[in-house]
Amino acid sequence: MSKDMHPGRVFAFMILLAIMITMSYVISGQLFKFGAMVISAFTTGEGAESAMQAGELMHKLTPVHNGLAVIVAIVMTICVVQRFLRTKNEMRGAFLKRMFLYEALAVGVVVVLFPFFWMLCTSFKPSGQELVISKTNPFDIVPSEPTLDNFRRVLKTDAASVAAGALDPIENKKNFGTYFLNSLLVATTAAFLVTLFASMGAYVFSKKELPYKQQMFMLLLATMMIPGMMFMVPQFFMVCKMGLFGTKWAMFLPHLASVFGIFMLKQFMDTIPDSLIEAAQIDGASEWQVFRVVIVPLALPIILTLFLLTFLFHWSNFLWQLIVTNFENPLSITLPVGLALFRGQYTSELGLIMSASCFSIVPIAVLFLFAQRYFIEGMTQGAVKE
Amino acid sequence: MKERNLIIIAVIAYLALVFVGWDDSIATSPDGRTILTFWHTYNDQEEVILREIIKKWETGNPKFTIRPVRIPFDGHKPKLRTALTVGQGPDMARVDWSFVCELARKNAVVDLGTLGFETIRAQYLPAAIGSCNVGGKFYGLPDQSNCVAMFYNRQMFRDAGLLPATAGDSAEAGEFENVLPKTWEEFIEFGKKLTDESKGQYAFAMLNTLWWNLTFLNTYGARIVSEDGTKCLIDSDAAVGAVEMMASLFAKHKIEAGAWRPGAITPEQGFVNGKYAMIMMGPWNLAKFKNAKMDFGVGLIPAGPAGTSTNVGGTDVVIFKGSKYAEACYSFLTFFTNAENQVRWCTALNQLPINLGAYDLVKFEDQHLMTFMEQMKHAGPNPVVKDFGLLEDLVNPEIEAVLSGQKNAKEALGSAAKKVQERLLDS
Repeated sequence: MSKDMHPGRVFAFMILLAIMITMSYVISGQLFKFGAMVISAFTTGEGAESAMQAGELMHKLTPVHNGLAVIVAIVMTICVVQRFLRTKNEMRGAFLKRMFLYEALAVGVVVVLFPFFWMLCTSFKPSGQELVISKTNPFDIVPSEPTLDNFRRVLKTDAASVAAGALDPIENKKNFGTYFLNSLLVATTAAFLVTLFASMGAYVFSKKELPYKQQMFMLLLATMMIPGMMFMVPQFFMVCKMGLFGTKWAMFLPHLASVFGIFMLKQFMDTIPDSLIEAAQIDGASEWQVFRVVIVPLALPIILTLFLLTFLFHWSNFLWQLIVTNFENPLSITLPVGLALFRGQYTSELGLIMSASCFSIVPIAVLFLFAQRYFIEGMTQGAVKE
Repeated sequence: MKERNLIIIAVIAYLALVFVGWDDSIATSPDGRTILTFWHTYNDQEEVILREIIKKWETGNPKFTIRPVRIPFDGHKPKLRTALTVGQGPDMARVDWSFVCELARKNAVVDLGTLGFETIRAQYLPAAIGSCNVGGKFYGLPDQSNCVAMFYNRQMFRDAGLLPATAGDSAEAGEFENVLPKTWEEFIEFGKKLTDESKGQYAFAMLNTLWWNLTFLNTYGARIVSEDGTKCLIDSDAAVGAVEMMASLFAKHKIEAGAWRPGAITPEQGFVNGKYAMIMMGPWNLAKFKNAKMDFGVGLIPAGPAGTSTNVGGTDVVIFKGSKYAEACYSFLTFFTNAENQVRWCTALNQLPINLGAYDLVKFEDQHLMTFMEQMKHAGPNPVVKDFGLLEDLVNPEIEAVLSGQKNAKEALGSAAKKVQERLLDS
């Protein structure tokens, strides 16, 4: 140890290094084991015996994933120690703080992502083993006998479903792919239309002069106090009378008028200066052009936020979609309703639910990934008063 | 510019999606036969056997065809309620046993007595058919029935010295059953040997909902409501005794894990992971526990003052008043649940029969199911009320107050009886 090394800092570094080594070994160990598990599951066939074969293959791969985890831990240790030694003495305090911060963030990431990892691992577990926890290491949730049977059953590509599907083509359409496509159509169309109508409504309430405008807005807001359940039967009655029962229109038509959306967008549009609109009008812009060229681009973060929230609502709206679904027609069954078919009176097919959930979170994750910049911007609008 | 391109791609992708997937119509093959719609909540394996039985029935009834439509069990009540409101209901449906009373009180289902049910009523398991009896009339018939029995983790029994270390395989199940506790007193004595709080191991774990608690109440001979459904009897001495015993398992004898508390390890999860030695469970989890490679056994529920007993679960099938073909529906449902088809159904799916005629004919390879069949013979009737969910909501918090030591059993059940009488039976 060089003379200028502060013993307190070295001690703190050693502790942080120990935590980092443990974390990197455990996390990378689980991830490599997961990789080995996926390879084993893919290279074996269908049924309980194949799961056992996959288990044997995984067992053989144990030295590989354990070795890789050790290598990752060693490489990271070398990098961090080298970096620490290269850092000037007066900067080492800041280095340690940053190291602590990264470790704390890593813990946060693990906590946030753990349920998703659990979902992925459970989807590979054979029926009956979903709740079994490893006796040697309770945190080791990667299955020891993996199988793709849950995915096969969900997508109806297993032998029994293929045989049944050959007899009845309608039954064959009752698969996760159909439900997924239906939900995607319903949620996207609903989100687009709600956003369109709400932004036009909000523009009028925010920037136009109308008699009794304030009172009308208050009346609209008052409707938010009435629980949505109250409207369910009358809305269902109307949908049936319109001949829309069991169609995709029925899934979202009654929810197109979103008071919450109008309120949220109006609050944002109130902050857009009127002078911008006046400037556009002086340049000869029509009402539609003002809305399209001035209002929409400026309110884009909040409009995208509303799009995302509406998409999420319709993507997971179980009760209404259940009521208007015509179960004789698989083309009207959406994802939340389709997922409920895996739950019985006393038992749930946890493996099937988890494997279906693996697919169902994809659109939400993709949408959030693309729109997160606007989403976060939209959520923090108004947080700072200038 | 980049974002603009992204938006254009997204819009084109969306339009393509609409073009491909919007069509709601689906081809059906009308062949001139009258369609009877049957909404059910069976799983994949059950649906295969159902279709097989439907085919058999259609051979003898060429004018009709049954269309089985699967709906989720979780939402079958709101789905039926709303569909019936606008006249979109099916001809017949499979419903939870607790839903029959509500449908009958709302005048939505056919009284099977008018179709000649009295002549075949004796075929059905008395405890199961009890849930269809509303005011002396039968508005449905059972199609599937369950009860709970006591599951034992044999490894934990061996570790506690309650079973010889050599005993173990299913071949020695008889030997194992001989050592099981026969009464609640013996159960408590066993429990003390099986519990090791320092390791987080408990002899027993239970849930606290009225349906699960009926097992305890029935072994004490307690009833929730009178037979005519007008008086609440949950504050009887028998019920007080049963709840006091339940509470003592947790508070006094400390052999129960407190699995009824929010956030606790559930009985099922604790059992498969070797934390709980005994749990009450139904036959639906036999396959799961086997797949989990557990060494377990099943025995009768320990006897109380009224002997061994259990609760009854399962589903019933009903015919709706909106159907124009009630007689044909009745013909199918009685065919579906006759002894011959029950044997096929139960042996293929490892389920308990509801037709007494099938009891002597069904032989299971799995001895645990034979134990369930024996247990089922001792089942007590379920309380038939118009809203079983509300009954649970009124009673469960009071029993929880006893389990957590906030109230004594007499006081809590007295309060529950008053609420049930006022808000459920008299309203």
